Amino acid sequence: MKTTNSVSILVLISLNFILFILTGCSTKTGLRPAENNGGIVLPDGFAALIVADSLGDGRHIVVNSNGDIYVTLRNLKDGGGVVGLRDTSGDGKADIIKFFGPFSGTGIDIHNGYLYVGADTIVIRYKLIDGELVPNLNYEVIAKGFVPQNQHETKPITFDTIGNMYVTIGAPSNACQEPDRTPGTLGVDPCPLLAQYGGIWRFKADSLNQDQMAQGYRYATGIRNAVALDWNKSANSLYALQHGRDQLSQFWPELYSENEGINLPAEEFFQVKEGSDFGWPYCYFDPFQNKKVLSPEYGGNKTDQGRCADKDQPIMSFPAHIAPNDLIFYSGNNFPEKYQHGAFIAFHGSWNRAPQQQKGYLVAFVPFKGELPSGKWEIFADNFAGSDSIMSPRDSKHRPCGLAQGQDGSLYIVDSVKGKVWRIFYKQ
Amino acid sequence: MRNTTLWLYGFSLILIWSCSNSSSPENNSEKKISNEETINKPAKVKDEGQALYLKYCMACHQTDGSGVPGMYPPITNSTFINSAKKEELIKILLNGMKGPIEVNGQKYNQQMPKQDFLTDEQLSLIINFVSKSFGNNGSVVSPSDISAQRKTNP
Repeated sequence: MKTTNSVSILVLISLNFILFILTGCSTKTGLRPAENNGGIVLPDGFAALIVADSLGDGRHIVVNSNGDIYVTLRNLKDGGGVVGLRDTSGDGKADIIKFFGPFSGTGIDIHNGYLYVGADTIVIRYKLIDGELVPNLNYEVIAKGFVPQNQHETKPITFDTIGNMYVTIGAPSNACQEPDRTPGTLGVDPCPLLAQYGGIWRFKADSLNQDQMAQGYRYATGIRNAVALDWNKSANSLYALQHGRDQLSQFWPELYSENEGINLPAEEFFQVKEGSDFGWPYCYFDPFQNKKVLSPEYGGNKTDQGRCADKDQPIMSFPAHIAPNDLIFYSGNNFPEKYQHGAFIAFHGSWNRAPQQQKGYLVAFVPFKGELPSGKWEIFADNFAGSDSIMSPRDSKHRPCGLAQGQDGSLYIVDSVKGKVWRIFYKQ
Repeated sequence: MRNTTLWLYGFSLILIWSCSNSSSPENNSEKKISNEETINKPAKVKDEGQALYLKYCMACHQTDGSGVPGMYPPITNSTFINSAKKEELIKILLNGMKGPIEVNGQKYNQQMPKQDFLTDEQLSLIINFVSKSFGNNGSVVSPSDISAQRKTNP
């Protein structure tokens, strides 16, 4: 009897322990916020913990269904272009950190058991191994033939639900001037870059060795550069945000004041449909006139629309130059109702506002209903810069660059300055 | 030894200024500059050199010369500028720059557009402003250095 009791107690304790492992650690109640939420400011009810820090120049991020986290790095660190993070203790903080693979870059996503990486001139995938943080490093090439670029070279990626992969191929140019970025130079007309750049290309998600120009399909054009790219499953549509053109006042000082150059053009939020043309380099979006206007490189005078009248319009605009670098649509259960199906956007912050203060080192939220925003955008996470008066981007302590949603509905944010990763959860 | 170097340096500056005086005046410079005015005196470099920097360089290299992380390199406390021959500095402005470089352990690989549309005097003012600002102490150049290099520039 005594023995039976002891066994029962042991069994009970073991069961409780297993239950604790299964539930206690994996729910949000097991997560403890970092002091001061790791330096960022969040709406009431939200908290943040630091998953990892000093990973390198972090770009995009993805979270696997088992909780493993993968971050792309702009440059190799410890011989790896991707860093894998695993939490084995349930406190949300990574205690296994592995740098792996020869490809650094920006794009990263998980699809059908593979980890896809968008390096600047190639998209590859690694097979994930059950139970292992580091995937099989014998990679397969998915898309190739991307020309090395000196600007807008990053290759963000996303997947639809019917077996396609989308890749932004940014324009190696500001406004298709030749030579590029020189005062008073007209744009080449028509802009020859659009054949191979300045758009979003579609590939088969599971076909190997697809060449951009042979097997790739130009899904949408007239996009200068869209680092923020995501397939919205609830709307079954592609979305992207464009980095608007730079330096209107520096190249066209007779037409644009310094202040106008700082506040024009808007950063544009696109719903991208097959065949969309958003007008780069011929057009830019003026948020004050609420229309696309003809670029000065193509004879524009700040107000004429010309050929821009029939280009595809943004679904929302954001302040100039604040550099949208990632987009995700929220589908988790952790955040309150208003966040369901809405968009989170990581803004990397400006450089093209000098000599005025640089702005926009923040994560924004846009509520959505169906295919379109259902309200105004708002700041969700702020103070990444660590100061209100940033004169040069190098002064910004952190710059949000990548976003991901965890299985439990947490939002992960990665920073490009130090490689810090925050995990944001709702405390209730 | 150090004093001698400083003295020599000061003397060479004076030489450069006097050379500048004798060089042909720029007629097409943006701001009217009288022929008699001494080119590239420190006060002129500070005012007009800075104004030109703010107009043509600041967008990328920023007001404080700190550049943009991952995109445009800093030009502050620059060992490159401090040790570069003046021909190297002039070449960068006339031709722009392309290809990967590393500054303070960080990699940069964007393209710098050439600035050869600026006049000899404007380019010299920019170089001399950057060479003596942002914690730098690099070479100074004269407009005639630039016009000479334009002729041999590929």
